Amino acid sequence: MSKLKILFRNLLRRKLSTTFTIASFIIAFCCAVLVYLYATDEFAFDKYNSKFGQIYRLNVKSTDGTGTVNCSFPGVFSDNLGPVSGIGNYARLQIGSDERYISVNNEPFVETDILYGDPDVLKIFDFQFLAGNPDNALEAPLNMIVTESMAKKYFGNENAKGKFIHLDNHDFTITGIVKDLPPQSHFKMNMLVSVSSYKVLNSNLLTKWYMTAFNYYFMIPDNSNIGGIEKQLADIFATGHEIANNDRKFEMYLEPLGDIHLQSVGTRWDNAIKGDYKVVIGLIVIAFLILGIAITNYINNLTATYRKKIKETGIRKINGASRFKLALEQVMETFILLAVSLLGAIVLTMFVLPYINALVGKSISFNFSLVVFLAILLLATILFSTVYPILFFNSFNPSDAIKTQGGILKRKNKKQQQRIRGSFVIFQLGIASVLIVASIVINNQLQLMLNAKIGFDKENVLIITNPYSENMQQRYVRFKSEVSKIPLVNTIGVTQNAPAGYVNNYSPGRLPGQDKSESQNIAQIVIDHDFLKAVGARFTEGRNFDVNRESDKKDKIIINQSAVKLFGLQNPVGQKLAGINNAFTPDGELEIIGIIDDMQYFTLRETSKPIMYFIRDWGYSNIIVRLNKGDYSQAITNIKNVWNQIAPEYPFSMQFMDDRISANYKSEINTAKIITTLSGIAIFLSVLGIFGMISFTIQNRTKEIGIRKVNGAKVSEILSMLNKDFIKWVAIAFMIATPVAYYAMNKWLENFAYKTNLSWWIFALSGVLALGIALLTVSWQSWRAATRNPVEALRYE
Amino acid sequence: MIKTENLTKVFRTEEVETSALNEVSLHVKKGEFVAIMGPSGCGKSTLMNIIGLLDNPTGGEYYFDGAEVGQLKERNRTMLRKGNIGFVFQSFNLIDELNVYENVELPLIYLKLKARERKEMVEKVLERMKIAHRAKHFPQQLSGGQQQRVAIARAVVANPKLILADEPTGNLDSKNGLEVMNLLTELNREGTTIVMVTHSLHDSEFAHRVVNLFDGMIITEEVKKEMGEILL
Repeated sequence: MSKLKILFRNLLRRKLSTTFTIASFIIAFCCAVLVYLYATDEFAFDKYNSKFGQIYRLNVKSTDGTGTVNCSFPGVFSDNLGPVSGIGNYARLQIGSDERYISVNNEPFVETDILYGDPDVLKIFDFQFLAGNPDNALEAPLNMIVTESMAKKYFGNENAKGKFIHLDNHDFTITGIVKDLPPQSHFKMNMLVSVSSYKVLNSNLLTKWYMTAFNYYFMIPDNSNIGGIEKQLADIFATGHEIANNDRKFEMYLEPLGDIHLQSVGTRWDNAIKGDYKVVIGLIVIAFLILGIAITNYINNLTATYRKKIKETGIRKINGASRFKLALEQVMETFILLAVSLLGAIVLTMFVLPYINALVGKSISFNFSLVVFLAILLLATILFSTVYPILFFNSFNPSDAIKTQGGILKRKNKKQQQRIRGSFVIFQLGIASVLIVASIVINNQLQLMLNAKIGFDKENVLIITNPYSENMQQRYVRFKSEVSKIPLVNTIGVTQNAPAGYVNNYSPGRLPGQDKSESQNIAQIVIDHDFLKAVGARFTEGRNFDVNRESDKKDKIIINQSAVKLFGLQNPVGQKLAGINNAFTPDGELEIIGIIDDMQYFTLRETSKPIMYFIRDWGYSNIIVRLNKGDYSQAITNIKNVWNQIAPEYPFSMQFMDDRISANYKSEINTAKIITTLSGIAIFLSVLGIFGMISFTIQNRTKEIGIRKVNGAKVSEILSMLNKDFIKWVAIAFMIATPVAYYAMNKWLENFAYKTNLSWWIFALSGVLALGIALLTVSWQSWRAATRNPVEALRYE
Repeated sequence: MIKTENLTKVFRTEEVETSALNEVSLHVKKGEFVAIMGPSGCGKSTLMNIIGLLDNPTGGEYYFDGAEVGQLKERNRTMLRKGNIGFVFQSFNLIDELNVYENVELPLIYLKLKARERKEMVEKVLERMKIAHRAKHFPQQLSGGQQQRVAIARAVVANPKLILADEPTGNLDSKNGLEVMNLLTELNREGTTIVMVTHSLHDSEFAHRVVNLFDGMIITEEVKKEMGEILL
């Protein structure tokens, strides 16, 4: 007990350094706990499935050079899989996260995450049935399963089984109720509709090879030959598409369920909840590094007060304390400090967790595994924090230790100590530099994606969903004429696919005179005359569609720069493209009247698509309203009122264009926020460390500074002497950090087709910042030391 | 060489004002060897610091080599001090991390002399102080007397006009103390002005003149010996 008292007394006596240490460790532990919770959640994705290890998703990868990975397949593919050997159950699943219009008891609602699945989906993934029979719930057309919370939402306490939900002009019978999926499922699900429903709704989806809509999941027994299965599937796919063997520009591969969430950032059409393996690993590394900074700060602190400590150790040794006992005391002291910090970190984590959850869109909470983690964390930190100090203090001979006040450390030891401290500073500043580079690069990339490369004017633009139904065109025409009267409305147009979303119609096109086999896929988007103006497209050549020219509606098109490049056109305006679907001309020839910059569809994770725009009076799905600058709220209320008059049966669904773009990059925006915060923390802890180090350095060199000043050293010379080491350390840290940061950022940028430049100035800036941080921290104190009257330093001891 | 008129120095802390020097007027001729004596706290060290341009007086005038320097800024004091004034301390004040050679070289570095020049000057003075054989040793490896010889070597290496010695024998045994006093006398004979603070009557016998300080004031001055032909 008395020992504990002494330990506490020791800690309290070194108030400042104890506070520094505890603050550092609280922050570092908090980071470690948060990253642990985050990473375990990320790695837990889909593991709730009891057949986790045997479930695979089918992907197709283009080998035409773009490397696009896609996991959307035609429904008819499934009818041809009978002969495939080596597979277990398989099922189609259409994962749609789009807003859908439903009605329950004639009341309209907007709902998302309505999925379509084969009956075997229920055998592959784990569903907990609360009502209904898993064996036949998804068998018949127009049947659906809903989750518990959906059943509550729409039917309250009534039994939802057997009730109807109206969707796509049909009544669907609820045949099963399942528990909500855990948040660690790669697909979200509110309702699961039987695939057979498409026989009633849109049979093309089940019969045409060009209608791709489904993800395919396979159960594959452990001893199966995956490569063989992939080959069989590829052959069937090629046969179905009538692709000759030597024309195959794709590879099939089966992706383990465990990879879907973290390893498929770029995969298209899967609507899966994506994490990024690289980012998770990056965060784990950073958490370790921040902990490393805290540990080095602590070690530094301990060894910096070596004079007192060594004397104490020496006296204890002379009085019979064994090395082991001394070591034990050191461990106890560290344990107390770290345990206090850990408690502080847990409290801090509880405070910040809700914010982190909101930021990353998770619902992480403390769980039992955390206890084990905390125990390991505490023990490992104690180990790393005490080994060096114990060796250091034990290395002194007790008689040396008490002999003199000054100069206890032999010069050799002093140099070695200096080197160790130097490497601590290098380590800390190196980490800070890498994180600074990472923050800049990630934020630059965001800038590029959100602003620089979107290809149109995203400000003041609204997108209003026009639900698919028979009279959507008429509804739009009426809506347009009413909305145009609202003062703040500048232009209103409509399109089949709005930017920052997807394009769902691709067809082969070619130059007139080219053979059909030379056709290349080009995306086609239906628009009206005002769409390009409303969205703020940038014309580089030619003109927009003109309502007064009748032929513009028939055989004229506007294409984007990527399309010009795809077909290798010189002076494209006036030239023609042929073989396009929906063309009302003989030979399907359409004349190009204008060229626009690539507008960003999908995301910049992939290259821009060649697109042609043309006027038709169908597919009016996305209404684009450009507003003038001003007070939007009134204008939006007015627009909404118009909608409610014209289409009372559909809820008004609206989005700002820049929100829609940001939503596409949610994970990148989060990563940027997290990395920027963590670099702030790392810099803060490094500053604490450097601050502590320079204090002790100056304490130990006060006399030397005095002597030098008496012998003619100017303030500037003293400053440069004190700062020189730090400049050297920054330089070394910079040399180590630059390649590391370059490598890490290159890896991260692999996620994107359009990458920000890793220009030299980013690295230079991080070096300058690290130098600035170090020098500011150091100079504040070294300035005081250098300007002090040397007389004070040289007072007789 | 040194002339002070009514020099005062007041130390202020938050509440207390301590007058360390009270209208001290002191005149030291070129080539003179002056000892300042007095009990602890009488203001000897304060006076030395002001004479040594390490500190400014609160009031009065201080002429160094004919120029008023009492209110110079630190920067200018440093400039003037360099090469003109050498210091010897009771506690030697050598830098532990530097060896003998480097310690002695220190003032020359701040005078921005070339390495070759420095080498020549340091070697010469080490010879003279009879510690050349210890050039590569570090202060902790030397005896007190040797350390003080190194300190004197450092004080004179730049051929200063004035050496200020603050109890130079205070930490030495009598044999080493005598050796140091002989060295100082020798330097003085060669023309260096010396002002020395001491407690020791024995040491003060080496000086031409002894100034007695008490409570910040000069109370007596006694001439011990004539300055001879060096006197100007």
